[in-house]
Amino acid sequence: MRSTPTGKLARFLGAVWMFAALSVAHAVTLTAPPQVVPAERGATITWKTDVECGSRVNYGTKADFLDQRADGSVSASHTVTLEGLQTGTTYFFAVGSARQRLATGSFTTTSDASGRPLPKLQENTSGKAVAAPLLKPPPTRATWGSIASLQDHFDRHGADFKATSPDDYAAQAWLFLQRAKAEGLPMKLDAEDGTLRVWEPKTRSFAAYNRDGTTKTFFKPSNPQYWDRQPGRKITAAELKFR
Amino acid sequence: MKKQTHICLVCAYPGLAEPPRTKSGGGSYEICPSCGYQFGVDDDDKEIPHATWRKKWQAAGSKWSSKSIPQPKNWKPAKPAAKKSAPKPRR
Repeated sequence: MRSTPTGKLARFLGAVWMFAALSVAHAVTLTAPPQVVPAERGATITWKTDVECGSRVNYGTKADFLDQRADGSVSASHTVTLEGLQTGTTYFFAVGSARQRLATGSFTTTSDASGRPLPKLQENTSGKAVAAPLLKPPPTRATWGSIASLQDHFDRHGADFKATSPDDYAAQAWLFLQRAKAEGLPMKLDAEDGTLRVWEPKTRSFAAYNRDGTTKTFFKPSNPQYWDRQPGRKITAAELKFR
Repeated sequence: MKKQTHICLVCAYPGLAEPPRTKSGGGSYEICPSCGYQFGVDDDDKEIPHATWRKKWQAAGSKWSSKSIPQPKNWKPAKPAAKKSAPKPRR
């Protein structure tokens, strides 16, 4: 049966309508806004979407000129690590996929040798600059593996990091992991029990984390061979199964 | 279901949450609430033998170490069990 020009047009319009309808049906929606963990020379940006899609961050030092980009894996829980950034510099970014941008934001890389994020200056209603923490660690219960033992770990190792309380000590241990992921600090994964061991040669800091990312301990070893003695396979942050 | 616990290699406290050492040789980093020995730290870093810590702890009165984990009523630190001697070779 030969089709008429009218029939062809109808089929063409139908296909266009179907494509548009499917595009709308599969529009990606942001379910958790981007969270940034800045470091001295990098940053880790995470966000969530309602469906799996690609992960892309466009970024740059000017809000209207995001000339660099970094990609992550296809997922609904996205993590993209930016590397090679300048210390103490404000970067603007947009998160999304190759097809669309979902949200924008900015962050400032740290310039503190301790690794703590620098306070971000912002203006309050009076116009006076006030300091506000750039990154807020989750509650201690979500970051420390065995809450009952936290006090004992703080008592033994809190002074290594000038921690003022068990919560501060636990928060620093969590920040250390975020920084390790962003800066690519040496990591070893123990296949036997899933323990992740992290080392920072510069400050001689060591931390061990459970397989779910909660902290086991955090301290500064005095033995120069300590890190070399620790078992586990060397891995990169991209291989971690938790955020 | 009762959670499995493990015995401290220093003071024989039976309530550790994890084995002091994994099969890979890694420490658990758990601090024994009884004697205060931290596996993977006091041995691997400070290189303090178990026996040395035990003697020091006993000399100080075998006091409960943890400030946050309460001492079980039924836990009475005793003299550590004598080391099992190796079986004599058959002749």
